Amino acid sequence: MRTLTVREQRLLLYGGIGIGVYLLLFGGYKLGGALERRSAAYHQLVADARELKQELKACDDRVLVVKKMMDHYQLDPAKLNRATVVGLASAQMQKVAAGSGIQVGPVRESPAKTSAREMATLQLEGSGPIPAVLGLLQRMETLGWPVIIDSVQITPDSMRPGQVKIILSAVVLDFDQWKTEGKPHA
Amino acid sequence: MKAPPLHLEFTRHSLIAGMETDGAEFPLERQPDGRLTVAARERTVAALKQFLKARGWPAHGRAWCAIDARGVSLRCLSLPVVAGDGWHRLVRLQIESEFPLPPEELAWGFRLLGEPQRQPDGALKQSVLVAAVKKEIVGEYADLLTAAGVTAGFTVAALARAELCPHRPAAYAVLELGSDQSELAGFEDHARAFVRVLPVGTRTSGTSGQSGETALESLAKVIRSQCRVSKLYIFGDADMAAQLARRLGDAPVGEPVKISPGAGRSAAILGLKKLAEDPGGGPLTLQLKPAADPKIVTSPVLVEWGVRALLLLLAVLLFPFLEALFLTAPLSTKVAAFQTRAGLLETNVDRDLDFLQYLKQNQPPYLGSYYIIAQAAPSGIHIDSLTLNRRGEMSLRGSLRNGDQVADFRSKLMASGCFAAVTVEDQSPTPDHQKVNIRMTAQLKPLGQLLALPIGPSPAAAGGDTNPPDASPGKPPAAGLSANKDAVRVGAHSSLSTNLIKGGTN
Repeated sequence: MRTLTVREQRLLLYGGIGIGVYLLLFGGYKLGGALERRSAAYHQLVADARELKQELKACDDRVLVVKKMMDHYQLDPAKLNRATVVGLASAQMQKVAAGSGIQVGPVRESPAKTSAREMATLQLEGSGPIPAVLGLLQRMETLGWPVIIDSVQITPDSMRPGQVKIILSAVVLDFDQWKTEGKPHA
Repeated sequence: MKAPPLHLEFTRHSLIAGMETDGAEFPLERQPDGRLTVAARERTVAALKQFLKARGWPAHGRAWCAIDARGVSLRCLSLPVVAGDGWHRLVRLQIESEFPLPPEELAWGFRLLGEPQRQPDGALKQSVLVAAVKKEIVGEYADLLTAAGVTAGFTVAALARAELCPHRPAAYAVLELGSDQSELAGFEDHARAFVRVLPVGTRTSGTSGQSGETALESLAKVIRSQCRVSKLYIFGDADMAAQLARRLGDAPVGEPVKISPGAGRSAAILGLKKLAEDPGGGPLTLQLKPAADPKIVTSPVLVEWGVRALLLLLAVLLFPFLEALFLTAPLSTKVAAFQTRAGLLETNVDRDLDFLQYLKQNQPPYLGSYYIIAQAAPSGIHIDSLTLNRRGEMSLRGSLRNGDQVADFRSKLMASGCFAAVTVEDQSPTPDHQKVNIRMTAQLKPLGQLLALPIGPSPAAAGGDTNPPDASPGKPPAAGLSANKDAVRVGAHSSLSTNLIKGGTN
C-alpha cells in the first residue's frame, strides 16, 4: 500500500477532526438530554420521598396516639385471639370484681349481634360495699380486654345491710371486624 | 548505535545520497507541476531503503538534505537587534509582511549574517538571511524520506554549495551548472541575496556549435544583469565552467570550483558535510513545523493544563447531574421499601386506632354520672334502684320527703350540665304522706360534651368531706371528668354511701 502524501494526511486529519467534533456535539446533545431526563426523574423521586416522609410523620403521630391508648387500656389489638377472648375477658372481669371486694354471683354469657361488631354479652351479678362497686367500674376500663360496660344497675341489698347489689352488663367487641372491614364506621 | 552521517540532495532529476565513503544516485520522475510521480516515489523509497539497510542505517536516523532552488525564495533582511529567542518571532513577522505566502504555508528558516551594524540613523541592525519555500515541496521530500526511514533536516542546496567557495568576498555568487538548467545564488554584502533557476544547462548549451555559444552568451548576459558581485563561483561541468568564465571576463570574475567525481559526491552534499563538521555553524534549516514560541507555553505543560481545564469543564457540566447519576438507584430502592412499609404501617395503625377510639368513645362515664347524681341528691333521699347504660339513659327509682325536694333534685341535675333531659315520670305520695315515691329518667349528653365539662370534686373535697360546699354540680372542679376519675370515684362513693345505704336502712 502506498504511503499517504502530506496533503492526503492533512485531509484525513481535518476530516477526522470534523467527524470527531460532530460526534462530540451530537453525542453531547444526546448525553445532555439523557442526563436532563435522569435528573428530572431523580427530582421527582426526591419529591416523592419528601411526600412520603410527611405521610410517615403523620403516621408517627397516629402511632403515638395508638401507643398511648394501648397503654391506657392495657390492650394490644394485634395480640387478641378470637377463640379465647370472651372466656378470658369473663374470667378477668370476675377476678377484678372479686379483687375489688365484690361477692360475685351468677355470670351469664350470651352471643351478641355480629352486625353490632360485638362478640358476646357478659352479665355479672354481685353484691358488695359501694367502694367495691365503684372500684370495679373504674377498673373495667383497664381490664386488658376489649370490653365495654353496657349497663349498670345498682340497688340496695336488703339481705346485707351496708351493701348494694350490682348487675353489670358488658359487651366484648369483635375486633376481627376492624381487621376485615378496613375503615370501620365507629 | 550511532548512525553514520548521511547527506542527501534533491535535484530536478535525481536524489543523491552521500555517506562517508560512498553514495548513490536515484533517478526521479516529475509531473509537469514539478511533483514526483507516484511510481518514481515508490521506486526511490524502495531503493533508498535498500541502500541504507545495506549500510546498517538505523530506522529514522537523522540526516541533512539539500533541496534544489525550485520555488525557493532567498532574501536578506535588516532587522533591529533583539535578544535571544526574539529572532524567530521577528523574522516570522517580516515573512508575513514581505513574502507572498503566510508563514504557515511556508517551510522557512533564517541565519544571522555577521555582526550587527550601526546604521546612519544610529539604530543597531542585524542582517538576516531568510530562506523560504512552499511547504508542499519540502513536505513531499520529507514524506519520501520518512517512508524510507530517514528523518531529515532540510536546507537550500545553493547555500550548502557556497560553503565550498574559497576566499569568498563580501559580494559573490554561486552558479551550479545542471544538465538542463542552472541555479544561480547571489550574496551581496549582507544586503541582498537571491536564488534563481536559469533555463540553461550543459545539455541545452551543448558542447559545440552555434547554439552552444548562444546559450553561454545568454547565460553570461543574465548573470551580468542579475548579479552585482565581484566574483562568481561556478560548479558543474568543468569545460563549460571555463568557457563561461572566459565569457564573463571581469564582470564578475568567474572561478570554476572543481569537485572530484564519485558516487554521492555533489557540491551541495560536500557543502553539507563541511557545514556538519563546523562546530560553530550548521546549515540554515527550513522548518516544516513552526518552531515553538518561547512566549507560548510548550506542549507538556499545555497538555497538562489543557487536560485539567477539560476535566474542570466536564466537572462543571456534570456536577448538577452527579447527584442524579449516583443517587437515583439507591433512593429509588429506599423509597419503594418505605412505600411498602408505610402502606402496611398505615393500614395497621389506622385499624388499631379506629378500634381503640371506638372502645374509648363507647365507654360511658359511669363514675362521673354517679358523682353528679350523688351531689344533686337532697338529704333523706331513698334510692331503690339506679340504672345507667352506655346509651346514656339513666333510670332512678326512690323516694323523697316532699315535692320540693323532687323539684330541687331535678333542677340540680339539669344545672349540672350533664343531662340533656330529666323527666320525673311518676311522683306519688306514700300512703302515710310522709314521703313521695318517684320514678325518674334522664338522658346524658353525648360523651364529647361530657368530657369537656368540669365535673368532680376539688382535691381538698376529695379528701373525705361528704358534701363539700364547693363540690356542688356545675361548679368547676380541680380537673375535668376524664382526668380525675379517682376523685370522682371517692366523691361518688361518699354521696352514694350516704343516700343508698343510709336511705336503704331507713
